[in-house]
Amino acid sequence: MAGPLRKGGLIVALLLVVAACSAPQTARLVEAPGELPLRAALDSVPFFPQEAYYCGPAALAMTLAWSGLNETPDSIAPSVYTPGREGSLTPDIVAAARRKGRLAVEIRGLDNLLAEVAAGNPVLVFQNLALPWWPQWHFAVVTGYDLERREIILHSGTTERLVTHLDAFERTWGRSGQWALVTLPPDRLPASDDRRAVLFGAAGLEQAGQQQAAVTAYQAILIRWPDETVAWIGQGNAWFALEHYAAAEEAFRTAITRAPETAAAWNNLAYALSRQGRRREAIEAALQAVALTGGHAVYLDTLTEVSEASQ
Amino acid sequence: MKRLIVIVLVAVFGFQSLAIVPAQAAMVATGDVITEDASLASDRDRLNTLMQRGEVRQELQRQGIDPDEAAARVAALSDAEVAQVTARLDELPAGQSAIGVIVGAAVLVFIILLVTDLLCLTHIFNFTRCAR
Repeated sequence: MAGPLRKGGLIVALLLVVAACSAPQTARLVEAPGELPLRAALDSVPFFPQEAYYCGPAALAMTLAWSGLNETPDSIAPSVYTPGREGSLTPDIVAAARRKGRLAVEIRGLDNLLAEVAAGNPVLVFQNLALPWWPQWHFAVVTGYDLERREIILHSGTTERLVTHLDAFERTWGRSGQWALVTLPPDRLPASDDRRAVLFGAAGLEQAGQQQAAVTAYQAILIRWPDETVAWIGQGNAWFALEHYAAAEEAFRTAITRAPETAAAWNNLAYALSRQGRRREAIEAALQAVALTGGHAVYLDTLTEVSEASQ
Repeated sequence: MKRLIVIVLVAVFGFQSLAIVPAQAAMVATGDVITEDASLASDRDRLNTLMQRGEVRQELQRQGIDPDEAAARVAALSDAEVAQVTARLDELPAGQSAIGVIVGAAVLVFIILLVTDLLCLTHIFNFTRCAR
């Protein structure tokens, strides 16, 4: 009796192994890569070996240095590292890239991640190398892959060229919620066609006070997606912050030509006009925003403010 | 005259929330245009206010962060991201190195991880080759 039972147990164990080992996105990509090249390798990504808990600063320094900035783990650590947590938080990584004037865009899905690498963009990834209930968080940079060999290549920790099974990577990366980021020069858009994510990246530059970089990013966005009204508003906001009110006015007006019902564009146009001392036109623009929203409080206040501005 | 315009408009639109929302007249931020949600800006105000409080500044310092540096990090985030941070400040995992973790690990955990590594479920040990 013991014999067959043991045999059965072994088969069950083997089936479990087989079931556990093929990761879904990897299996799909290996089966049908579509337009994705079968392999890619980036040679121009600098490598900084990680010291102690510094995997976040090390990984970010690598993608920033690749993008043309003179950064090292030590130079970037003060803006990303949280000593009390002995690690770096993902929002701090995003914020730090933006403060350095880089277009930071989050990438979703293994296919999109590999597409970035194929397009020449190294990808910063967040992994949980261990288990959900016993996490070991880690940041690394994807620099290559080979679908035929089912492998992914990373700058990771102290290893300059860590070759990992794509299936294993999909799982460790999946356990971090599939967090991945590219940090690009502002005139270079990601391969990703996630327009909203790219717009957020550009808006983040404004938020970080990198207005010139934001203008550049919006220009690149408008070359790829000429019908993207939000990019005109964003460009107007960045020009406004740079105190180029005429350029801001032009951008807001372009947005309004394309989408006349955008109250935010009218509202911001009112400010651009007001700053140029054109009170009457500013009031008219503010009135449009008020009318479009049925008298939203914010726009009513704008109306009051531009009305009270001196000529 | 200008006051009159506003009063007339309020009367026409019957807008009720003027008194409730002490909205500061301002440019609409691009991030809010993307999300079409201007209310997110108030999360930032809440977080900024929070970060000015003594005990919060103390906690930040205990975590080894200069409160002003923390404010600069917050400033570089979009309103939507700030809302995410405020929602799950404690759950956010921080990337860390293998060394401290492995030193502290029990033998049992070591073995479990070795096995899960071999199953391609984890990738802790560089020497493991997982079966596929």
